[in-house]
Amino acid sequence: MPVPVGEAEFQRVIAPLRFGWIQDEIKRGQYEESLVLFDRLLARKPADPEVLYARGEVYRLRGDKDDLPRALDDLSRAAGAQKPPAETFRSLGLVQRQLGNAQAAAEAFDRYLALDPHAPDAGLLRSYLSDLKS
Amino acid sequence: MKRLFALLLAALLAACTTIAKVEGDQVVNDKLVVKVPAAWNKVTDPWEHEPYDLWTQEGIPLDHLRLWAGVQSGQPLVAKPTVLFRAPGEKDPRYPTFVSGLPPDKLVSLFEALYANEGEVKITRVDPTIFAGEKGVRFELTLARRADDLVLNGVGWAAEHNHELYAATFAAPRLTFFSKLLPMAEAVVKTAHIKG
Repeated sequence: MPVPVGEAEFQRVIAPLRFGWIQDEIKRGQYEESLVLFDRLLARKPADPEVLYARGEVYRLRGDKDDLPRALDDLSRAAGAQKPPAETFRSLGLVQRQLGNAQAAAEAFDRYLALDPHAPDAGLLRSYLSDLKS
Repeated sequence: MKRLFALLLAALLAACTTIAKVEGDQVVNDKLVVKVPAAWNKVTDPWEHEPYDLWTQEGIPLDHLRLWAGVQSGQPLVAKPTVLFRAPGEKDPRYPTFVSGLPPDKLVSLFEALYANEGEVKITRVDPTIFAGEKGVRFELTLARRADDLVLNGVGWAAEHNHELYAATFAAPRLTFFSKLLPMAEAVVKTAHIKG
């Protein structure tokens, strides 16, 4: 697919804002619409860690049948990419916790809190960690 | 004709939003008891049967305290609007819906989605807490409201009891009102207990 003229410059300019926009899209809670958007973005750039995180997070939040394995797949791929958003590890920990994988959940939460010790939900996640490690 | 118009207008106004003073012991949805040390104003709209009680000090455009009691699994946190016309293939939007057994982080996400409908919302703090005598979650948020560009601070509490949701949220403009009114909201919320 030919790269549109000016795309690189456009991506450079929006880069500081893009993840915030992606988070706002997730927060709308209109999961099916968000999945269409994130599928399109991933079709153009399949290893984009921000969008992999976003799609995994939408699957996690929706929680329909088969959504948890999809969330785990996207979030694991995002976590393995270069410079994934810190929130990837939060979501990964929450999925692993839901799946009953205590050690994997604790590792993900530890990584998240190491990357963002003052995360807004640090208090809640530390309580989850305490339960997972007890 | 003028007299008829005046009568119709009076009847219409009487059927619109009502505001009643609440103080002392109050019961929300016949399930959640709170003590109200300083009076609040309860806002009721006969046209919209929201699944929460709506209270305010300075008026709804400024501050609100919402109280949910006994929301059952599968019920949304807000009333779904009546749709009079739908384009072919158009689906209803999703509404934040309580499901029994949700972990605290997902309870917070429900309220985040609720406020995201009004503007740009950001959760700024989440901690475990006790609400209405149950283990639950307390969260704080900021909301940049789309309708008037006002930035509000908010706080919420949520817990599950017998597969039902009990929750409260309070929000007010960041400047002046939030710090002034939050203690009044907290004074109500800390007395909350489930009836029976």
